[in-house]
Amino acid sequence: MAESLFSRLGTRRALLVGCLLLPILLAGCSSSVTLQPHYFWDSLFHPSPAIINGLGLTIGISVVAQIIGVILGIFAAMGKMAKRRLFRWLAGFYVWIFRGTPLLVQLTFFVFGLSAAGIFKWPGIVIGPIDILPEILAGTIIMGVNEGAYMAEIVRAGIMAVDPGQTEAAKSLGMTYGLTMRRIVLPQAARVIIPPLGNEFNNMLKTTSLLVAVSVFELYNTFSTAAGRTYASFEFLAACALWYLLLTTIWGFFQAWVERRLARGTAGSADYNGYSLRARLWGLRNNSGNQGGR
Amino acid sequence: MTNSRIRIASVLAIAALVAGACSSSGATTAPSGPATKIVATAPADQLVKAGVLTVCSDTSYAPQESLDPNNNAIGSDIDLANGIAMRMGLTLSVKSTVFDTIIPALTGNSCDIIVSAQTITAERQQTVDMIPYFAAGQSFVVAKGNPKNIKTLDDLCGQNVAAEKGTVEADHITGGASGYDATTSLTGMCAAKGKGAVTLKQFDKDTDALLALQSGNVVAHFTDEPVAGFEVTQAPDKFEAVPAMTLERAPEGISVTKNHTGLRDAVKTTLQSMMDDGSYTTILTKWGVQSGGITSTAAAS
Repeated sequence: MAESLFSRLGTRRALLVGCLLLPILLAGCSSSVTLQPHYFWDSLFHPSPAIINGLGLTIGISVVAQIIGVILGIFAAMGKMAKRRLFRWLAGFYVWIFRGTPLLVQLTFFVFGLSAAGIFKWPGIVIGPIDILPEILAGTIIMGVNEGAYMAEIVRAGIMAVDPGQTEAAKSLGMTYGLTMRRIVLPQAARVIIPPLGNEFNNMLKTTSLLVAVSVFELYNTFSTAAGRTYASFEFLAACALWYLLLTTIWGFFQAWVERRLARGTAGSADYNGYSLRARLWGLRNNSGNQGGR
Repeated sequence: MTNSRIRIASVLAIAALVAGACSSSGATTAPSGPATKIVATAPADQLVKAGVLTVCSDTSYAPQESLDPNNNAIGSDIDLANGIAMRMGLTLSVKSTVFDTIIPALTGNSCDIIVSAQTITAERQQTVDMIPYFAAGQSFVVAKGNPKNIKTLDDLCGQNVAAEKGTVEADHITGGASGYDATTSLTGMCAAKGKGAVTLKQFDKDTDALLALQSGNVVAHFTDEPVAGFEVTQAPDKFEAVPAMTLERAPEGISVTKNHTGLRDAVKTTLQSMMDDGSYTTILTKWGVQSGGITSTAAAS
């Protein structure tokens, strides 16, 4: 099956890729460009323990912060739709503050600002054998609280997308508000919430790089320190970008799988089955037409 | 999602968090060498963690403090801190801290002392006590071949210079702090001669300031003399020093919170004993910064 690259990808796409590679190849031939490619390849294929640590921190902090964000978002969304004015006001205030200020300002304020004024100093906590440093705890919680403000709107949109007839039917069956939310509304709202939630987690993976400002040695900080030590910033930062791309791409595949599972049996989901996974994931269609099936 | 997949996913997430949280994140415990005589002890209530000397340090400042490829702190200041800790019967723990907020980190009780090439200034001494432990001038690093021909301070007028945020070098360029005012700052001196101001480009890490020089955004990197010397020896094909423009050798101090007098006196005594018995000079020579050595921890009058 010796399909040439051109006929598989399409001539236009191959030309585009070539145009992107050409300046890099030309730059490599120029005498004023000095590269130390071993730093690049080593950090991709033989990552040091520091990079592995950074990777673990980035993934771990993203996951925990996103979970905190979803939980806070659900409560804030329900608060915004509450009957009692106090809850509506509290939820609205929380969303307003944390969506209205930059995450970097939140991080530096809650970590440095509070401790400088002697108001609060973040403790390190020990969970079993794990020693969690104060800045990691602070960073995770602050990112989670920040995320909750954005999730509030997403969850609220999801809840409002559920047919009000469902809540009415639940009420007529005598279900309490909490039971209705847990068993009827939220599971159906999940279908609307999952795509933007996936988007938010994709953002979260990348936004953890801001934790460099509070001295957490996540992925970006590790690469930035290595670049500062060796002056090979091109090689290390390019490798850093590729690591983030790998994380977000893996998440993209996982998110697509989750959405497909959730969409099973719903109206309109059959339309997607005509395209290949690549086409559905990236919205492209290759010139050889639909591949069919999965 | 089926239950087993949820379980696998949560195990992976927890494993990732464990892998990350177990990282030393710049903190290092000193290797135990031959038993050192204990010279002085600090009251336990003035230490953040009992039995440990927690040191805040901005580890972007080789050769005084930096991180090795495994993110362990190394450098002349780190070795000095280790010597002090051992002579106080404590183990060393280094926290990598952003320089700009290192004093709030100390006063906020994140660490016991700061050993981070901090120049002693009147402003800093209003918030913390500083024990002299080193002396360094302020130096410029330029690109190899000195393409912008920076030979005197006047050549900097109208140009961009990079420095780390919160350092005396940054204040020296703009004035308004660390004892530099409108007449003694570099910008002020340029203005007095009728030339354009020196524009300060400041960065959270000193290594970022050097990278700005490497990328051509600035004509010079203004930093401490030992750091400048180290940067040039590390990459002689990229950078060169301008020795004729080295300024103002000033004492650097170890910062201690103001009311921790017991800790302060213990550190002072142990440091003085290291200066007296020669281990201080040995450490500085190992890192090539012996020219910055001083002989007494008495505050300069």
